[in-house]
Amino acid sequence: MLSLILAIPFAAALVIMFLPRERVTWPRWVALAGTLVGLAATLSVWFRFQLTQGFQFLETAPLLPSLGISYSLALDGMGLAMILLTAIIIFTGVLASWDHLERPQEFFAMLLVLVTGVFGVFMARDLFLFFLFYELAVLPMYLLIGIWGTGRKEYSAMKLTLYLLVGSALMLVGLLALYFSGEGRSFYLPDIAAKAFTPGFQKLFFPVLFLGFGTLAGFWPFHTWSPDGHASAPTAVSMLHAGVLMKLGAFGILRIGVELLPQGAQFWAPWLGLFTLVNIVYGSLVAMAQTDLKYVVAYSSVSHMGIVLLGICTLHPVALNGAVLQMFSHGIMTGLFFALVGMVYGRTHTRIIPDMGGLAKQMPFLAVAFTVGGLVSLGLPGFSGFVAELLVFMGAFRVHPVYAAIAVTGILFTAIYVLRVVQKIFFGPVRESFHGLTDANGVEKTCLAILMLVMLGVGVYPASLLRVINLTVEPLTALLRSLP
Amino acid sequence: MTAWLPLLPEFIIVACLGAVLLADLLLPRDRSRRVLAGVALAGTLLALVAVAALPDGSFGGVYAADGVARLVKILVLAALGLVVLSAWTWDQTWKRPMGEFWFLLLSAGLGMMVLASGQELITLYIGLELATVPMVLLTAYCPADRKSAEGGLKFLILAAVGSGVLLFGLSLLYAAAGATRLADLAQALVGRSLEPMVVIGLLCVLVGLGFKVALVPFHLWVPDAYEGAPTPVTAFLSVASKTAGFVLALRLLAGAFAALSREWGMVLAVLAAATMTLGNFAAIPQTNLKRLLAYSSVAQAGYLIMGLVAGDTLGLSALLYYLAAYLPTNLAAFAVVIAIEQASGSTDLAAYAGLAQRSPRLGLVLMLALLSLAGIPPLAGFTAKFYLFTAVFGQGYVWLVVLAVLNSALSLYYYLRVIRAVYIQPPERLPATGVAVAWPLALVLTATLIGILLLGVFPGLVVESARQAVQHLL
Repeated sequence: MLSLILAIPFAAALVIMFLPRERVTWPRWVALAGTLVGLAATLSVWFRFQLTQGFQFLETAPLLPSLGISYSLALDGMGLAMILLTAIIIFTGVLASWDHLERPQEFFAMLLVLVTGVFGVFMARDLFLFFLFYELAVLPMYLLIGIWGTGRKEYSAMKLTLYLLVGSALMLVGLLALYFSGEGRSFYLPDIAAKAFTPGFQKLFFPVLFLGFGTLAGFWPFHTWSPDGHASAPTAVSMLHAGVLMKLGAFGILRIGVELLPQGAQFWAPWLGLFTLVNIVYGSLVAMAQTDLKYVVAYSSVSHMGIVLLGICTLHPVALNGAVLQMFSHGIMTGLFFALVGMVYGRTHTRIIPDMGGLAKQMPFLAVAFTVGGLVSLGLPGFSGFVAELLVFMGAFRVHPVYAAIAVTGILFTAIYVLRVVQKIFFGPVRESFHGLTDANGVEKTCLAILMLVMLGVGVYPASLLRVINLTVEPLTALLRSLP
Repeated sequence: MTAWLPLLPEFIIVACLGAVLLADLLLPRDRSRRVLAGVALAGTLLALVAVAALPDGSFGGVYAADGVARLVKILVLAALGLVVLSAWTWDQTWKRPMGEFWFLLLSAGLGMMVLASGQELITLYIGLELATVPMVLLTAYCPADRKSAEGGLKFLILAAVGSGVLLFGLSLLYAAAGATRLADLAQALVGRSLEPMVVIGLLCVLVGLGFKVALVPFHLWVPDAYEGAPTPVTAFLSVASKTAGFVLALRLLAGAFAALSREWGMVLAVLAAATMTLGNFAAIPQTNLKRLLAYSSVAQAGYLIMGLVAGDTLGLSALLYYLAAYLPTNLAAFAVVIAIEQASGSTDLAAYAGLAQRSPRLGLVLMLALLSLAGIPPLAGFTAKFYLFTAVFGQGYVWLVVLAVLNSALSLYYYLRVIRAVYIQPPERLPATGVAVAWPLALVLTATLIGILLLGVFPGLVVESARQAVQHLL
C-alpha cells in the first residue's frame, strides 16, 4: 500500500512526460488525477491505521544486502500525519497552478517527482532510502524555481540548491557515522536504533545531524535560502516547499536525530533552543519590515518553523506533540498563504503591499481566506495554529520559562504584521486601477476551501491528529526519560 | 586447445581488426563506410558474448580471465560498442575515410582487455602501450583541426613521460623482488616497505599511474586532449581508458603491492583529495562543454581512486561499481554533445541554450547524465557514490569522505550551469525543428539512459558480482 502511494505520483510524472506536446491542458488533468488518487490512497491508509504505537504497513525487500540496504517502508503516527499533509498540499498545489503556466508538461512532471521524494522520506525505514528520497525531494526545486519563478529566480534557485546540498552533505556524514558505529552493518532503522551509541558519539554527531536537517527546516542562521527561494518560486512550489519540504528537516531531526541519539539531543537541546528563539523573534520582526507580500509569508515561515524547532528542543512530551502538530498546521497554513499570494498577484500583477488596497471589494472570497490564514498564523483559538502553538509554549514554559517568554513575543509581532498586511491589502480605500478584477474562480475556491476546512477541522477537533501524533511522541519521551 | 580458451575474446577482436583492414582495402570507398562500422560493431558484440559466457580460467599463469577481468572487459567492450554507434555517422562531419579510425579504436580496446587480464608486469605494460598509443593517434585524428593536433601532441608527450616513469618504477621493483608475476611480487615484497629501492620504485609507479588515470598534478593533458579529440574519441577516452587505467592500478596496488598498502594508501588519499578539489574548481569557469566534462572527469578520478584508498573488499568493489555507473553516465553526456555538435558545429555551452524546448528528450538525457555525475538519486552516480563513500568511511578516512561530499555539492554548481542553459535559457542557436538524431546515436542515448536508471535503482545487478570478483582477488 505504501509503495502505491510512492508509485502513483511517479507514474503520473512518467505519463505526463509522454503526453503529446501540443496538448497543453492534458498534463494538469493527469497531475490532478494522480494527486487525487494519491490523496485517496493516503486517506485509505489513514482510516486503516490502527491506533497503536510502532510502525505499520511494513514493506521490505532487500536492495543491496552486502551493505545491509533494504527497500523498507512503514508508517508511524508522525509519518502518517506528514503524508496526509503532503497529499493535501500537492493536491491543492496542482489546483493552485491550474492556469497561466508555460511548459506545463515539465512543470507538473517535476512537481510530481519531487512529491514522490517527499512521500518517500516520511515512509522510509532504511537510512539509505531516507537519504535517497531526501535528495530526490530537494533537487527538482532548482528547475522549478529557475524556470517558472519570478524575480531573482536563478540566484534564488542556485542558493537554495547549494545550501540544501551542503546540508545534506553534513547529513550523509552523520548517517555514515551511525552506520559504522558499534556492531552490525545495516541501514535498516530498527537495527540502528538497537545499537547503543556511546554518549560521546551521540554528543559529537547529534549537532552534525541537527544542522544538516536544520538547514532544510530553516534553522537560523542557515535559513537565508528560504525567503529568497520561497519568494522566487512559482505558487505551487512555494506551497510545497514551505508547506512540506521544510517539514522534512524537522521530521529528520526527530526521526534520526532525537530518536537515535537521545543523549546527544539532551545535551545539545538547550543550546540549540536558543537559536530557535532567534528564528521565532527575528523571523517575525523581519516579516514586519517587508513590503513584498511573498517575502512576508516567507519570513513568517522562518518564524513558524522556529516554533517547531523550539518544541523539539524542549524534549518535553507536550511540546513535542505541539511541534509535530505545528508542522502539520503550518504546512496547511503556509500552503494557503502562498496559494493566496499567487492568486492575488495573478490579478493585481504586483506583490508590493503599499501598492495594493481595498481588494476585499473586488475579491471577497480571497479576502476571507486571507483573513482566516492570518488568524491561524497569529494563533487564534478555534484553528489548528492555536492548539499547536499553545502546546509548544506550555511545554516550553515547564522546561525553559525564559525561552518561552521570549518566544511568545514572536506571536505578538506575528499578530502585528498579519493584521497590518490584511488591513493594507484588502481594506482601506479602493484603488482605481484595480477596478474590474474578479474574485476567485471555482478551481481556486476549491483549493482554498480545502485548506481552510482542514485548519478549522484540526482546530475544532485537534485530538483527531494529536492522538495519532502522540503514538510517536509517547515512546520517544519514554526513551528520553529512561536516560541517565 | 582449451588452454587457449580464456583468450577467445581477444582473438575475436584481433580477427575483427584483420577484417576491418581487409574490408577497407578491398571494398570501394562509398560502400565500405557502413560495412566497416558494422564489422567493428559485430566483432565487439561477439567478443562481449564470449567474455560473458566463458568460465574463469588462466593462460600460463600470466593471463587470467577472472571475475575482475570479466567485469572490466564487459565495461570496455560495452563502451567500445556504444562508441562505435556514436561515431557511426561521424564521417559526414569529418569528410574523411574511417577505416583507420575503426582499426585504432579496436586496437585500443584490445589493449584495455589485455590490461584487464594481465597477471605479469611485461604483459601489463604491453597492454598499457597498446591501449595508449592508438588513443593518442585517435586524439589527433583531425590534423586539419589545430586543437586536435595540439591535444594529440600533449597527450603523446605526457603519456610517454607517464609510461616511462611507470616502467622505471616497475623495473626498480623487479630488481628488488626478482619477479614479474604479480602473485610472486606480492610475496617477495612482504615486510620490505622501508628499502629505498622499493620506496622509489613504488613512488614512480604511483606517478605513472597518476598520469594514466589523470590524478592532479598529472592531469594536465586531459583538458586539451579531451577538447581537441573528436567527440566519440573523447567519450571512449573518458570511459574506457579510465576503466583500464583503474584496473591496472587495482592489479598493481591491491594485488602486487598489497604489502605496501600503508605507504601508497596515504599518498593516494592526498592525491584523491587534491584531484577532486582541483578538478571541480577548474570545471567551474569552463564555457565549453567538452572541456567542462574533461575537468569533471578529473574530479571523478579523484572519487574513483578513493576506492583504492579504502582497499578492502568493499572499497574495491565500490571502485568497480563506480566504473560501471560512470560508463553509461558519461557516455550519455557525450552522446548529447555529439548530437549537438553535428547539428550546430559547436560544443560551447551557449549552443545548448534552450535545448529542452527544442529537443526535450536530448535535454532530459543530458540533465540526467549530469545529475548522475553529481550524485543525485535515484541515478547510477548517486548509488555508486553512496557505496563508495560508505566503504571509505568504514576504513576510517572520515576527512576524505567529508571532503568528497562537499566536493559533490560543489560540482553540482557547474553541472547546474549546464542544466540552466538547457532548461532555463531561451533557445538561440538551435534549429526550431529540433536537433536531428541519427538512429545509432538514438540507440546510444536510449541504452545509456536505461543504464543510468537501472544501475541507480538496482545496484545489486553489478555490486554482487563485483564483490565476488574482488573477494576472489584478495
